[in-house]
Amino acid sequence: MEDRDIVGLYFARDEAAISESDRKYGALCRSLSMNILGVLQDAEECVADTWHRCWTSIPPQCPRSLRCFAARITRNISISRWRAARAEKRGGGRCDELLSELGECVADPGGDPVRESELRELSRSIDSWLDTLGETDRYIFVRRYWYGESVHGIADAAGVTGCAQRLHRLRLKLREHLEKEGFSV
Amino acid sequence: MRPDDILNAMTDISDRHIEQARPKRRRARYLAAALAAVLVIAVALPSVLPRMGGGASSESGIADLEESAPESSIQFMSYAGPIMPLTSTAEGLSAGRTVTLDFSPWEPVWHSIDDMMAELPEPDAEARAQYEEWFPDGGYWIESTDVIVRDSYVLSGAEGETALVYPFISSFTELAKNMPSLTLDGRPLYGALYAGDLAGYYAGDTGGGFDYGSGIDSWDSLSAVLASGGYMAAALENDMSFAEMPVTVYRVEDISAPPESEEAQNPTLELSFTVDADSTTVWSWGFNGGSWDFETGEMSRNFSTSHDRDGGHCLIVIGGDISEPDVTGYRTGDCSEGNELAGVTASVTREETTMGEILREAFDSYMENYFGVEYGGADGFDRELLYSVSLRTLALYYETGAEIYEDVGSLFGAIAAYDRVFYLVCDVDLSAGGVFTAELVKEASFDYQCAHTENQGLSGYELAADLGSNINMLSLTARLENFENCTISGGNFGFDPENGVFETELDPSVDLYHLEVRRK
Repeated sequence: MEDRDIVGLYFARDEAAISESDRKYGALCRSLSMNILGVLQDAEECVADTWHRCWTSIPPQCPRSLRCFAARITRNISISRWRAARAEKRGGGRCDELLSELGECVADPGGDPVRESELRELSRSIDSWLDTLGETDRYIFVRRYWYGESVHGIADAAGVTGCAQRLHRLRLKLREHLEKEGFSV
Repeated sequence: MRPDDILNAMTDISDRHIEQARPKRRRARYLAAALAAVLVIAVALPSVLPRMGGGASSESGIADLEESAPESSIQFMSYAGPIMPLTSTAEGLSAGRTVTLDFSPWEPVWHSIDDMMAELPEPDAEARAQYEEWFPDGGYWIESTDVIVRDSYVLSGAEGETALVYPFISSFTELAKNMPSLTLDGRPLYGALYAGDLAGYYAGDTGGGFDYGSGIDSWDSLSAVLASGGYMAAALENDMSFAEMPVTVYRVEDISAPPESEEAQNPTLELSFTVDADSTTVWSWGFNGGSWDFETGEMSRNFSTSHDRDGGHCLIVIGGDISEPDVTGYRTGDCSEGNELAGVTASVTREETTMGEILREAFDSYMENYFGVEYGGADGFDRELLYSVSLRTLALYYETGAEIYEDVGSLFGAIAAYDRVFYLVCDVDLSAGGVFTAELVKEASFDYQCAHTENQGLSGYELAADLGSNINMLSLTARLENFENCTISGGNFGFDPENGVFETELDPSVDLYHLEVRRK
């Protein structure tokens, strides 16, 4: 079923919207959630929550890309769930690994968190920085820190060697960019 | 700033970055797979392949397509794909092509309450009263943006019997609407139908793996999918050798569980076992959930006994084997310690079989239990072809190491719902030439009504002049018919209905023509 038809089902408040969403994007969302959480059952629950969130937000929202809309929700829910699991000293997944690496982008990983109001600006800055990268670097960075994919998997998919070193250089570049943009890294 | 902040901020990067970073494929594996398919097909269809995806003047199909992408065409949110050109197995075939876009479906059609009642399986007074409340005018107008396409070729230059290959874009579930009807010299022509794989395996230009979600969503992605010829070659080869793969199946039978109650709101049966993930792949059929601890190799699969559907519950084990599964009952789908439920029992039997045997069983069960209901057994739906394509898709999953987190059964529905390129292949004798015509309904590309983009209300249609055809197009004529309800907003066909120009001669060497239309 085309996205337009699925979105139409949400607008018509037809519950088939959820089954059709899952049919089309369930695997993508499960895979994304599994990367973050590492537990199939948790990933399944995150995906179920994703469809519930879609149900309550469409309408009024009308996603331009249902794929990105759903995947973004899954990512948010999965990271939240991972944080809760970490607080309870349980859970697996790849988030620890990602955060440890992203520690290279900041001077003090244990420093003060940025304010909620600054997050949007930080997002915009990272987005514009991604635009300055070559296609392969951008692909590698987003696959790692948006999709949470393994370094090995990314290297394999992108057909590049030295992926870990490349990511290291990209993290340093990002830090440099954020400093230039005036963020207190 | 903390690392968390960057991880959070990454969430809201642009859609285009997220889309662009969708999984891509390993070139080596992709080329090897494409080459293998090409070698097989080359025996049967020796002259189809040389120009697949390429322009007439270049040996590099990919480069040509990249260069030829028309910058002026609109990237619609919902992409219907172009009208694709006929190709052939014959060397030296030439054609004069005429494409008619008939806009008669744009004529509004009144859908009365009587029409609606006639569509109901059990029409009654209550339904009529409901319709009368909803539609006080007695019905509503249906305004379609489909066009009827007549794609005609005056063929010459063939010697003896030739296979004509007509490609079109559809999903399995929409085949009834999208299937072209073919004629040769006015007589009906019946072709064998072949289906391309999900686009994900072919669309990437650098990577390996299998992007389940990647579809045909733009001219660029379609061009990339068809660039090397591997896509069409694999479709025509329809390799089902994956069916021969030996597998071990653990079947759950004789299930007994307490009924739902206050204490056990959703009695659930879980199979738990250990697996060496390096040597063994486990797929499941008939389960709702599960878990996998990567470090210890402990894996589980579970399903609700109170919402059990017809059909089986099987683990499909490929490569090595798993430990003997333990059966445990739980009060709900939360299969964790402390939530156990007594009285949930089942027998688990182990058998050695083939992938084809067990997938056939799963496929038949899925079709029986779900498909007929969901899709109403649409006409033109080729279940055997869907089975073979499902088998090929799962083979790609396995070969590329893609992980399947969901039930195998549910994949069949997804495989049926995705757009792909289909091929109708007809053996014909063209010694004396002939006029081949394909007539089909073509949906428009468009942006969602609710998106409030500048393209709102705009319908897009595309015509691919080349896109892999090995027929030498001597001329290309395009015509508009029944255009009274429409007005042109853009495009490169050269139509000018206001001044009576409903027919244009086009350059066959231009890869893509596009037309954007609004309702008057």
